[in-house]
Amino acid sequence: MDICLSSTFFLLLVKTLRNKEGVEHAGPRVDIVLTFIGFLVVYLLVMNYVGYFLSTFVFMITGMIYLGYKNIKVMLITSATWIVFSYIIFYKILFVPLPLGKWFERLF
Amino acid sequence: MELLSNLGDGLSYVIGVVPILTIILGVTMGIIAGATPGLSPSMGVALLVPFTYAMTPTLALILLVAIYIAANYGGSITAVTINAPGTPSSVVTSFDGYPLTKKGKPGMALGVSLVASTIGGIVGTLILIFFSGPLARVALKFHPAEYFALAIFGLTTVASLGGKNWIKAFIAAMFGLLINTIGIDPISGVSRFTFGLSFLYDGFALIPALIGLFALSEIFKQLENGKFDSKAADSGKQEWPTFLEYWKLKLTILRSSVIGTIIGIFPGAGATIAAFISYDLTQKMSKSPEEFGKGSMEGVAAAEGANSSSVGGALIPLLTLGIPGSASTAVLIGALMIHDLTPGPQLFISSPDIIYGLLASLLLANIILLALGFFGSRLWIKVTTIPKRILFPIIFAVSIIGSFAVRNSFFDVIACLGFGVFGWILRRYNYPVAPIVLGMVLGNIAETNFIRAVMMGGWTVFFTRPASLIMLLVALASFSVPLIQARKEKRRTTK
Repeated sequence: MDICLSSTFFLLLVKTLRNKEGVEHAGPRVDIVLTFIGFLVVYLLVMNYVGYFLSTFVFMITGMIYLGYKNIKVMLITSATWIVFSYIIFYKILFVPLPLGKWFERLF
Repeated sequence: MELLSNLGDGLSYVIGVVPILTIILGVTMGIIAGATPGLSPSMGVALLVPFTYAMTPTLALILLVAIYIAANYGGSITAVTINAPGTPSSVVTSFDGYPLTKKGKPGMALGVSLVASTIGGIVGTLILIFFSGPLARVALKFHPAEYFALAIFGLTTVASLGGKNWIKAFIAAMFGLLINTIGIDPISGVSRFTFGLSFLYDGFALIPALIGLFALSEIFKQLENGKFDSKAADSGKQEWPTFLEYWKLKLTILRSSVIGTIIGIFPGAGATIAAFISYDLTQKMSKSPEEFGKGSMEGVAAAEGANSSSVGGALIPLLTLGIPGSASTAVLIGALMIHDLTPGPQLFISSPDIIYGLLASLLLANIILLALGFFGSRLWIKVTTIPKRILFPIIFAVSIIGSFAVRNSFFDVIACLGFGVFGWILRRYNYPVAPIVLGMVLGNIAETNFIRAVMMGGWTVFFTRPASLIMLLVALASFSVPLIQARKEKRRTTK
C-alpha cells in the first residue's frame, strides 16, 4: 500500500516535471481541474505516510510547475516560507496535531 | 447616552497596541485579499478564520471584520487599474474606474474610491451603532416562533434576490438545508442520515464547508478557465483628486452610503446589489448622466460608497438577530461559533465588551484603511501582479490546513475537498454557492427554534403571535414575487 501510493505520487511528479509547455489554452479546461483534484487526493493520502510538511512542500512545488511557473527560486522560497509559517503558527502556537507521517514519527 | 458610554468602553478596548496592530494587520491583509486577482473577500475571511483560534474572541472578530472592510476597497484597485474586479461588488466600480485609467487618470478613480469607501464604511458603522442596540433590545423579547419566522424570511430573500437565477439560488439554499439535517438532531438526539458512521454524528462543520465552497470551488473554476496571466498594472506616477474634487462628490457619497447600508440590512442582498442600485440612482439624479460609463467620478463614488457601507448594514441582522445577511457575514458566524459564541441579542448582554469593541474597531478600521490606502497605493497596485500559478497552490495548502485545524479531524479535510468539488460542479451550471452556506446556518436556527416554539406554544404559535405571522407573510410575499414575475414574463414572451 505504502509503496503503491508513493510510486503513483512519484509518477505524477515526473509526469508534471516533464510537462515543460505549461498549461495555457483557451476554452474550458476540465482536465486541469481533474488533475488538481487528483493531486489533492494523492497529497492527502501520502500525508499520512510522509507527514504534513514534506507532502505539502512537494504538493506546492508540483502544483506550481504544473501550472507552468518557471522561476524555481521563487517556488522554493514561497513553499519553504509557507512550511515554516504553518509550522510556527499551527504546530507550535495553536497546537494543531498535524500528521507527522508514519514513516517519520519515530524520528520525533 | 448609554450608547455613548458603551461606545466609550468599546473604544477603551480597542485603543491599545495589540488591537490597533490587529486592525492594521487585518486592513493590510484585506486590501491584499481584495486586490489579488483570484482572491475574493469571503474567500479571504474563510481562509483566515483558522488563524484566529488562538486569539481572544474580540481580537478575532476585529481582525476578520477589518479584512472584510478592507477587501471591499482592495477589490476596486484591480477593478480600476486592470479592469478585473477583485470582488463581485467592485464590478460596478470598474464601469467608470477603468475608463478613467484609460484616460490616464487611475489616481483619480483610486482616490475617489478610497474616500468614498471610507466615508461609506463610517456611515454604515454609525447606522449600525445607532440601530443595533435598540433592535437587540426588541429582539431579546423574541419568542422562538419569531426566530423561526426570521430564519424562513432570510431563506426566502436569498431565493428572491438570486435575480433571474432565483430557482437555482433556491435549490442551492435547499442543498444547504439538507446538508444541515445530517448528524444528530440538536434537540431530540435522533441520529439522521448518519448511516451508523461515527464521523457523521456531528454533521458537517461549518468552517470546512465554507472553505470548500468559497475557496476551493472558486479556484477550481478559475483553473478551468485556464487563463493564469493577468495584465500588469501601471504603478507609475499618479494624479490624485484635490480636496475640492472630493467635496463636489459629498452628496453622492452620503446618499450612496445610506442606500448601501439599508440594502445591506436585507438578508441576501449585500454589496453587489447595493452598488448596482446606488449607481443606477446616482446616474438618474446626476447633472451629467452621459458621463457615466465613460469615466465619471460620480459613478465611482456611488459604487464604492454603497458597497462599503453595506458592510455595516449586513452586520445589523448578524449582531442583533444572529441572522447572516451575506456570504461574508455567514463566515463571521462560523468564526464566532469556534469561540463558542452564538451571535444574537444575548451577546449584547452577556459580552458587551465584544460587541462594543467590535463597533469601535469598525470605525477605527475605516480610518486606518484611509491612511493605508493613501500611503500604500503604489504597493497595493503591485499586489495585482501576484501570479496565479503561485497563488493557487498556496490557497490549496491554506485550505487543507485550515479545515484540519477546526477539530483536528481528517474527515473535515476530506469534507472540505468534497464541498470544493461539489461547489465547482454547481458553479459550472451557474448555481450560486452562497445560498448553500446561508441554508446551513439558517436551517440550524430555523429547526431548533421551530421545535422550541412548538414545545412552548403548540403548533399554532407561529400564526397566533402577530410578529411571527407578519414575518411569515413577508417571507411568503418575497418568495412569490419572483414567481409571479417569472410567470408574467413568460406570458409576455409567448404572446
